[in-house]
Amino acid sequence: MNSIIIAWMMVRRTIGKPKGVLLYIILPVIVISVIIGLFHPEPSIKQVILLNNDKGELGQQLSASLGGLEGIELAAGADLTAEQLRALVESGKADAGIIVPEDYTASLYARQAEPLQLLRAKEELWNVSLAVKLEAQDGMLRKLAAAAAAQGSAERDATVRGWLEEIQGSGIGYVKEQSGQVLDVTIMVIGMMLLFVMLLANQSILTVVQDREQRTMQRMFTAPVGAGEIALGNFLGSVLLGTMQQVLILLTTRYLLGFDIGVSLPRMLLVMECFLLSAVGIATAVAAVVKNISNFGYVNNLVVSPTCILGGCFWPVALMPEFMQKLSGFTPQRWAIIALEESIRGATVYELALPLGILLLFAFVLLGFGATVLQPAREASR
Amino acid sequence: MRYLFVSCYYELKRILRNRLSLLLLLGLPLLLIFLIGNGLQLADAKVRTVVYLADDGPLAASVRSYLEEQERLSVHYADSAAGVEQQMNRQNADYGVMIPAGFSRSVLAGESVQWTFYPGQLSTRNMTAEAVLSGYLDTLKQQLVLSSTALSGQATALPHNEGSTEGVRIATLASNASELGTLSTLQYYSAAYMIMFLFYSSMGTIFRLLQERDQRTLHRLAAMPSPLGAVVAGKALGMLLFAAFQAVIVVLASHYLYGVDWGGDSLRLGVVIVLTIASAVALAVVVASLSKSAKTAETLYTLLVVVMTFVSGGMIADVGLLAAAGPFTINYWSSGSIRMLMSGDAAGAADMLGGLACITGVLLVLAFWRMRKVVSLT
Repeated sequence: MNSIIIAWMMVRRTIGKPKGVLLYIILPVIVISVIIGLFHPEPSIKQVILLNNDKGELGQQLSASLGGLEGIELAAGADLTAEQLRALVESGKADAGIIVPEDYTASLYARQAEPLQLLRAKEELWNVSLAVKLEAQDGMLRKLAAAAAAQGSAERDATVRGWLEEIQGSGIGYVKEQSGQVLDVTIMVIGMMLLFVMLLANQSILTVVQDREQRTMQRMFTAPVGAGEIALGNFLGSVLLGTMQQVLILLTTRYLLGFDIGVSLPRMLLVMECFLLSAVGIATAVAAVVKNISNFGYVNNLVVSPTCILGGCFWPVALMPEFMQKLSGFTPQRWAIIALEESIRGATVYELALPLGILLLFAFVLLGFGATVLQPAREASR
Repeated sequence: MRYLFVSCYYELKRILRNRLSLLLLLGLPLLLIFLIGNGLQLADAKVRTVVYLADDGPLAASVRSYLEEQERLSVHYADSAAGVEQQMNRQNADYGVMIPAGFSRSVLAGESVQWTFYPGQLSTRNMTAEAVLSGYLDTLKQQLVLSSTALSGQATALPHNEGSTEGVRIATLASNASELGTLSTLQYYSAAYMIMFLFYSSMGTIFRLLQERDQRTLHRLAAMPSPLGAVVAGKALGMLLFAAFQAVIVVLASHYLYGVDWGGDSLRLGVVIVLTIASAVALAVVVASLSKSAKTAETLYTLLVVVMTFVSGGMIADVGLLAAAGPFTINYWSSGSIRMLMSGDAAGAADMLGGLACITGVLLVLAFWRMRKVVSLT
């Protein structure tokens, strides 16, 4: 009971004033909403306009073979000129343009190079892939046309068409295993939630340190409450704060913005509570080493932002070089993200034992290290 | 004049005495530049592809040599399908592919057979890997068709890369070809983060004036025979010197430790830095004059800096619609001019510098007008 009172006091001290509500409740919700607004929906479909000037048939075959590419919407630009298409791409109204030259078919049969043109605003990975695809299709047509060239002009089109159909109809191909890809924006939203949980954990530990420095803790110890109850109360306060923040963020994103992270609320809370424990652990460990309480904020900056970057809160760790991916295993953020990614892919609670266990281990070690914070007589040297 | 220097000396001493904030202002920008600059190597990243080749027929060798020739993939082999899935789940690979046993036999017998692709976390890398891998199958099918008609006369022609056929001519239209222009990620974020931290080191003294006013120590300073203006100016000078020192450290350390190329024009770089510091201080004065306490001012200013950095593309290069708001931030002009200097575009840098100078001018006028409010003793 005493613990609950202490916990409640802590909640009131942290978010009891408008400023606290603004900083720890409203700001996170706003930031996450902005991120969802900016980067969702994704992946965006790229608009590619294909301008087929070819007088022969093979240009048609080429454009047919490009249809159905993932993430690319192919439109025919029948009434455009090359200049207009160029302007469209330059102004960003189209993401890329493909121009099939007038003598494409004829040049293929004559084994001459009449290159296709790919117009793009800037080099990006998706249009590099498009270029690869285009080159492959062009190369195939080139070979087929060269092989059919010997035949008369009437038959060779039919021959190539027949071959293409044969290629299409052949049973050689590939299937894609659906691996449950997690969207980048989801990772960013999760990362931001982790960041704000850490900031909140820091704030709640700061109140404990303030209690100690201002001798409030000594007074608490003179009251008929046990040391365990005080520790539990402070701890419960942190958990309560974190939970309130999480629930509000989740409710806003799901029901106001219609954005589904893909994890059920209880599962989300389970992972977040485990992470919160290690965040509280980090904050207490920092508080234990800091010499001057006014420096607490500084040191937290030194700890929070680099570990969040390393842990993959802002972009997927797959983008990082090898050594940084290995380092990221030393941050609790990474393991919280792994647990949530696995949940999105449909893992059961038991399958999360490893990441959650590691989070709890982080918490256990760091809390043990930082437990000195709760000693009322200990004083930071000034 | 002597008052000014004495006050400047003590302000510098005060700043340098706090080891932790020194570490924060000098170490953190370098750490962040290192982490982000290396963490976001978007360019020339190869798609790490894990392959399980169960087939040991005649086509296996051609698959291997095709994969080896691919410069967009870095290929390593697993020894079971479960191995591929494991590598994918642990994110040790960006893309997985399983080539079934008896692939060669089925192909040569004209039966249908399918590879299994395991797409990974990053959609753009998936597109690349899929295009390259399906390229093998397409070439294979094409050669099967041709060889079955016996026109080419060689049934054993297997897919392999041919030299560039010049079949596709690619035209890149925008002047800044990639998201970051010609700069490396390290350069891009070095500029952005140095600017951001210049803002942070240019605020302390101004906000401490508010604190001194509330603690009445400002009154004591005013009671001394020295003119208050000289004392305040001295404090500000101390902070300016420290900010400049910070910029020098960040530039030199990032250059010699990480090999960041800041462009050859150190004079113009210096001008950008000085103008940025000046506008940062001016902004701090304006914010301070609008705030009741030092703490509010600091929170407001910090938030403003983060928002400005984000909007100007300092955290994520492509901010979508928000990019339109970029020119309304100081960071846009100062990191813009540094980026121009880095890429050696003197004319562009001059334009950006002009913009920065105008903004700084306006802010300084505002700051001189509002300064009275910050140090008012009543």
